[in-house]
Amino acid sequence: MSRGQNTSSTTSAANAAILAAALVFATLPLWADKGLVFLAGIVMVQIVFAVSFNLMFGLTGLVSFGQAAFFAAGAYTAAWLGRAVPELPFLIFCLAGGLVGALLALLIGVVALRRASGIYFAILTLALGQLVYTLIGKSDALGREDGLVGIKRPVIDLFVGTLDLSIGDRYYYFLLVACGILLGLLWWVWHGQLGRLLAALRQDAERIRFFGVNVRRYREIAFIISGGVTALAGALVAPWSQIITPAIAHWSYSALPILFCLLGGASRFWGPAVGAIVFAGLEYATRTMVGVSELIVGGALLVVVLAMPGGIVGTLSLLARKLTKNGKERLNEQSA
Amino acid sequence: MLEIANLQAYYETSHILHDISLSLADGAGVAIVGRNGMGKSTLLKSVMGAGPRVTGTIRLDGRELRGLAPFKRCRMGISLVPEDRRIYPHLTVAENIALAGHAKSETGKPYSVEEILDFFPLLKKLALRKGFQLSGGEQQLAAVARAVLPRPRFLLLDEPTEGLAPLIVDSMGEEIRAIRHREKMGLLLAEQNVDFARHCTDHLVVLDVGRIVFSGSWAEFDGNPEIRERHLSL
Repeated sequence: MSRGQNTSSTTSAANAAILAAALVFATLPLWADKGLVFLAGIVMVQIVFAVSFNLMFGLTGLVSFGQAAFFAAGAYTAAWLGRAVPELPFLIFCLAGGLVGALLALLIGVVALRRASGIYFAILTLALGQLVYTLIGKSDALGREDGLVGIKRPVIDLFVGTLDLSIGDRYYYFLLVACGILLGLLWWVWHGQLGRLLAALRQDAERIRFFGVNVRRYREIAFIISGGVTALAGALVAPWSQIITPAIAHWSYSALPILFCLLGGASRFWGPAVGAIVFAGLEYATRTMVGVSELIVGGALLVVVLAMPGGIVGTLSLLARKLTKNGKERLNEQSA
Repeated sequence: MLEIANLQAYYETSHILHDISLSLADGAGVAIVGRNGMGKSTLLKSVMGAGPRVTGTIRLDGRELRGLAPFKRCRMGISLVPEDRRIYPHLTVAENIALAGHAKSETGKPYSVEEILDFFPLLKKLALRKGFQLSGGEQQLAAVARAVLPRPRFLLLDEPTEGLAPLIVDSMGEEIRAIRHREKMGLLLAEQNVDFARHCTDHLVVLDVGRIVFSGSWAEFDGNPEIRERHLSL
């Protein structure tokens, strides 16, 4: 992971790609149809979902199979509060959703992180996530198996005036800004001191234990941040899809961010985002091929996971590094 | 004062250490000598709480360490350099050393990286070299330097000379000895290199199949050549 001068061109290429993607998302309502805009909103939320999951997976090295529990906790908290106390501002619902997700992560973490090694943690988070799924499905207040329907897009108070997000594409732009802020926060955590400590912890927990680091606590902190931001993403999605069902707490929903990470590349911050976009693109492109769609999506996943162990982003940066290296060598030959 | 009493250590169902009792005054140096597989590493790991299941007592100034997590023992002033060194390959020597200063410490202010580099002159020239650019000996030296940074009360070294060039072994011996005396840092050294161990410590214990078969000063050890014969020679 050396960052010499010769990688600056690949870095700027990556920055250009990020900027281009942001531009596409920002201008989408101007040129795309409503169905695509809706899908793009979901993808933005799923990007936050996957990147916050990757804080545990790619950075800290823990595979949680119950991430959907946090997503659902955020979505249901926000939606339920919107019904129970509609007079409160929408941002409070979102924050409450995030807080409930973080608290849930704290509770699940206390139990599951007792066994942080491999399969134990995966199974414990899976079991506790399914517990949340079952509880939601059996709760009258949360609409049992039918979920909560008719969730309103909010009117938010901006001090200088109110902004009605139910009109036109306004909620889409609100999602764009909110997801941008959350990704910025995650980027800061990933690249800051805490992120480096988590990476060191993944590489060799024993070693930093010998430096006097409380490994369990930092795993817990990573889990809480990951769960909290995932829950915020869930809180944002409820008014967008306007219906939430227990399906978003199901283990198969927990598998989504894992797929995005493997597809895009878990070792890079933007890997899961690429994974989410490519996955949605594949699904969209094959949506009319009934029965074959899953085969194609699954086959594509298989190819990527087997042929590109670093995911799409990992493979691209490897290629870029090889290309710049070759280019440099050629330059040297010419000058010699 | 580090006191180990009636220590038994197990891996799974294998009983590795039998009834080990040993005490180290502040600034004292004790070598644990023995052939491969006699339990030297297990003893150090037991003091650090890193791996084996342990019964008996391990006390630092009367405070029981058994049951405390390794990071807490580190904060209380126990520093272990494991056999495999675990230097960060992508960080420089100075960065590797500086890392150990981030944890909370109950033993006072850690040394600065500059002070540490003064302790180990060989590392001074290598301060900006990355971990993967170091020889095995240089890595070992960096790992020892990193363990000294947080100002530990007791330094635990697991076979630091294994596979190193004689020149590096000599200078490391000098430096460890000097730090021990000047900084009053206790040393528990697991070692097969008897000359190096003699240079760094005042006392030794000989381990054979998990039991202490000799305990005393180096002079006493030299006065009993049959110990060397029976427990150390191959």
